[in-house]
Amino acid sequence: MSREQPQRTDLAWQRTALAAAACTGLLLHAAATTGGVAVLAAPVALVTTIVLAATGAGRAARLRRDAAPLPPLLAATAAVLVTATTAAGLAALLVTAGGC
Amino acid sequence: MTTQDPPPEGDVYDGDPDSGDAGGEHAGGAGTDYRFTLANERTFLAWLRTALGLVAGGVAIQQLVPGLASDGPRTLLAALCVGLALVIAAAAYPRWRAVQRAMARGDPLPRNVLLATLGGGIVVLTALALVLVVVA
Repeated sequence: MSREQPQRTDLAWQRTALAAAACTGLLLHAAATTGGVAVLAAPVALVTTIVLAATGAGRAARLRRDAAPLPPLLAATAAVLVTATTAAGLAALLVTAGGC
Repeated sequence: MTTQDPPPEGDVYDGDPDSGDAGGEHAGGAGTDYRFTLANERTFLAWLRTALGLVAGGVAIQQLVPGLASDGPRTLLAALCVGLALVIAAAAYPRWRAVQRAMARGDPLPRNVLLATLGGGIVVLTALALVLVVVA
């Protein structure tokens, strides 16, 4: 097995966790300045960041041993968390704009 | 799906009997070239990053550039960004799974409507942002 493929995949997980961290930072800023639903959205994004980083670390360790495909449960968890972060961000935007 | 080199003999994932992972259909299938399953995983992650980037963009428009436009249009642009992100995030997993299945069965890859959705959405977002910048 080539070592490049697992490395690329490991880096892709790290980039995804970093993107979630950036979202968390922005939602924390929104929570600090406007409060409201953003206060609830920021922890969701934080959990997503932590889970993505931990999953990425686990995948990297697994890929160092063999090229096992991504288990569907991990993929579904990552997708559900990102979707929840997105929905929480949308709710924060709309409720804040509505003046709640 | 393109690769630079043909897969070497034996470089396929046949499952790990010790872990109970038999490399079944959902996992890409026994005999699927590992590079293709890892490429599919990276594409899945790229869709998730795109969604997260759109969320970050939407929140940033709402929070960090109050001079761009009045509250209503700015919120509309931000909500469109995050709404597009929601569609992409929700569709990423079904797409990953459909591609895994197709590879396991040796079928052609399923048509990707997400690309057209993202492309159209970005065109709309860009046009709206341009109007707001010009009007402001």
